[in-house]
This record gives sequence, structure tokens and C-alpha cells, in this order.
Amino acid sequence: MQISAFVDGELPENEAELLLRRMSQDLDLRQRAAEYFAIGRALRGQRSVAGLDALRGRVSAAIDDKSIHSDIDGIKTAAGRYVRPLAGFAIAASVALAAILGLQQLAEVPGVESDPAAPVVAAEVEDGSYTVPELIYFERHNRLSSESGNNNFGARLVTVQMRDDEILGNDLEEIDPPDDATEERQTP
Amino acid sequence: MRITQVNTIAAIKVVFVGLVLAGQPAYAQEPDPRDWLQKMTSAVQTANYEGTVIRIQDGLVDALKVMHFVSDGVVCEKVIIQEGKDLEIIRNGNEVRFIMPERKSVLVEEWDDKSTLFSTLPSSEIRFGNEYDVSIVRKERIAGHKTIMLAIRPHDSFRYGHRIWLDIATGFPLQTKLLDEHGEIIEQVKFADITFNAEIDASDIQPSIDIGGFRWYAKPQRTAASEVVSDWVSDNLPPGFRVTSTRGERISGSDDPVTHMMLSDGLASVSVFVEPGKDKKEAAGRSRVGASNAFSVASGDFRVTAVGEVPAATVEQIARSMHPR
Repeated sequence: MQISAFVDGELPENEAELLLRRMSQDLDLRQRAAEYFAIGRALRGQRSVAGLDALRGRVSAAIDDKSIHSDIDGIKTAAGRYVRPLAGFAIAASVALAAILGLQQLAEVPGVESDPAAPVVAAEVEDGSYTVPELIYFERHNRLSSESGNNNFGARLVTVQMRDDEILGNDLEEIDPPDDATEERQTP
Repeated sequence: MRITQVNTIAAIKVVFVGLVLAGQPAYAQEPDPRDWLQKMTSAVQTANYEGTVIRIQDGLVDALKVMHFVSDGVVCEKVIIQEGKDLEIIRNGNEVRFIMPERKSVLVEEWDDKSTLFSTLPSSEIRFGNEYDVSIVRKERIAGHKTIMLAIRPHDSFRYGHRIWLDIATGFPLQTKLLDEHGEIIEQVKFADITFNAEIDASDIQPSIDIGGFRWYAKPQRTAASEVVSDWVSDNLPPGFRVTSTRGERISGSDDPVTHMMLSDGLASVSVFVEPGKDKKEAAGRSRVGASNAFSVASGDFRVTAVGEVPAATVEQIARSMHPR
């Protein structure tokens, strides 16, 4: 009940303060709050993004299984010209595309758990076309705006989380551990 | 070279803001909210702290542990994501390491920007023209600290509003809310607890786990971005937006040079990417990541994409308004 009031913005500030403190320590509480937010969005008729997150998490988790690549390739083929030969970001872009195509079906699949840590990616296309701005544009915008002194916490966090996809790509080169890391290992 | 240019520009901006502020009338009893924003800018750049941050966005609640200190002008930070996939981010100056235990991997990057992981507003120039009002609303307690709440309200629906709760003692932002054109909260970031001047040193920002045996990765050096003159212009930008820089760069995986224009209204920023793309000329579409919106549209044999922390209608108008001179 307290979470419900919090989500609705009706919890007094002092109680909200305490609840946030509890959330900082309690994963279950955070997940329950996220569920209430999702319910609220559904009641307001807003597009849910939980399915997108779930799909993204599933694809990411299964990415080591090479068969997933053929699935993604299949989507790319079906989608025609959308996917450029991206390297590191191919996975991220493909996942975004897969999320778009899979949104409707996934929303109706019971028991699919969302990944609260996944970046929120909502996308839609118009007029039956398929091109959706790729995640790399968000990353490039965030980087340049940060260099000029601007910053957006959310965008930065998304950038960070994208690295998890990026490490699967071919756009990285493996390097030797730096000296300080080697020294760390040798230190008991 | 580019870092030097950026620092020079930042210095000019600071001097400019200082001159503007110096021109403001001083009311001893009614502190100018812009003074508080100046104080915030300084606090974000110099404060040492550790705490827990809660972020609420799109119904998702994230918790992050953060340590931050500045040593001899070098920013050091450690962030631990508290749920989902394990992830630690350690920043030591410009070098940032992403430690991913599940993949037994460490990705090393160079960040040549001067922002911190947790600044939620521009840390240098805040230029309010006719697009925003800034005011002091009230005092509240946040995370056990007395704060003053500032409101930055846009005059139209082309940009977001902000609410910022600043620690009265230090000027540090303890809570921020980003509001959409309807007044709905898009993103809330709040310290559940924070300790200022915590005794943190380099040993505290070492990895929390044993990373022996991890594989290390880095991005290969790419062609450096450079300032260019673009033929692309707009005759229908939303009020207050202007081009602040234009660069040529290559985006990962693409052989074609991309023109990257940065637009700003003094607070919000929008990037416009123009790239050759004959195979994409029929397409238009939008996407959203967190508080950022993007819109792509074809213009002749080019693809124009606008991205920024502004409403979807704003990036769409900007993207659709771009055309060759």
C-alpha cells in the first residue's frame, strides 16, 4: 500500500524518504515498486516497455549461444535494409530491432521476467517503415554533450550498460592487463 | 589538441557566466537562484562524497553505490550497480574501467570529458534566455540534509523542466526531477543517503572483486573528430536552439563520414547526425532511451537523425527541418 501511494505521488515526503532508503537496501522492494509503476502505466493506457526490457535481457543472456545469431540474422533479413554492417553495436542494434518486432507478442507471454537493469528502449516506426534511430546515436550524442559540459545521468547510465553488449562485438581489441592490474593481483 | 580547445571554450563559458552573474542586481535578502546554480556547479566539481543513489525512470528503479573524490584535480569515482547484471565502473581521471564479472571482462575507455557520472545538469554553461524561468520554490529535507528546491520551468513544450534540491550547506544536488511537457516526471534521481567529505582514497576505488584472470578489452583508436563547415541548415528550429559546434566523425561500423551538429538552447542539447544513406531514404522513425528521444528521417540521399534530452516532437521538428543549403 505504501509503495502504491509512493508510485501515485501521494506519499508524504518524510515517508517517501524512508521508503527510498529501504529501497536502496532491498532489491525485492525495488522490483515491487517497478511492478506498481508498470501497472500504473497500463491503467493510464501508456505503452509498456517491460516487454522490451525482457526481450533485451533474454537476447543478451542467450547471446553466447550462437544459434541466437541466426535468429537475429533472420530478423535482419526480414527487416530488409535496416541493419548496417555495424561491428560492436550490431548486437545492440539488432536487439533493439528484435524488441520492436517482438513487442506485441512478448507483452502477451506470461512469466517473462523483466531485467530492471536493462536500459529502457522504446521504439516505434511510422508508415510501416522500419528504420529506428540506432543506439549508437544516443551514445555519440551523450559523449559529445558531456565533453561540452552537459550531462544527462540517464543517458550516461545507458551508455554504460550498452558496454555489456559491445564487449560481444568485433569492434574491440583484446589488450594485456595494465601494470597496475597485475600488481593488484599479486597483492594478497 | 581537442582537449585544449574544449578547456578553452569551457573557460570562456565560465568567464561569460561570471560576467553575466556579476551584472545581476544583488538582493541580500532574496538570493538569486542562479547563485545557487553557480554554487551547485562548484559543488559537483569539487565535493568528495559517498552514498546510495536511487534512480526512478519509466517505472524502473535502480540503486547505485557511488564513491567520488577529487585528488590533485583528478576525478576518481567508483560506481557499483546494485541489481541486474554485476557491473562496476571505476574512473581514475580520464580512464574508465567497466568491470563485468559475469563475462570475466574489463573494458577500458578514455573519457576526455570533464563531467562526472552523477551530474544531472550542465556543469559549465547554464544560459537561460527566453526559454526558461528559474526560481526558488521552498526548503525541504532530503537524505537528512536541509535543501533548497529550485524550479527551472520552460516557456514552451519544446523542452523539459527541472526541479533540483540543493544541499544548503554545500550546494550539492541531492535530488533532481526531470519533467515532461505535461508536468509528468520522466526521471527522478535521489540520494537515499550521502556522506560528504568521506575519507576516501585510491585504495577505496579498487575493484570489489578479484579480477585476476579477466580478459581486458579496449576500443581501437578511431579517426579523431574534427571541426567542419556543414552545408546543412535549418530554417525551422524550435525557439532558442542554435548550432554550437559542427564536427565530422566516423561512427563505429560505418565507412561514411558523418556530420555531427550539436544544438543547444543553453540547457538542453540536441545532436543532429547527417550521413549518406541511399538505402535508408524511405525510412522515418523514432526511438527513446531513458529521457532521450531520437528521430530519423531521409532527406534526399542522406539520413538525418536528431537525438537529445528533449520531447519527441522537438527532435522530430529539428530532424525534419534540416536541409542542404
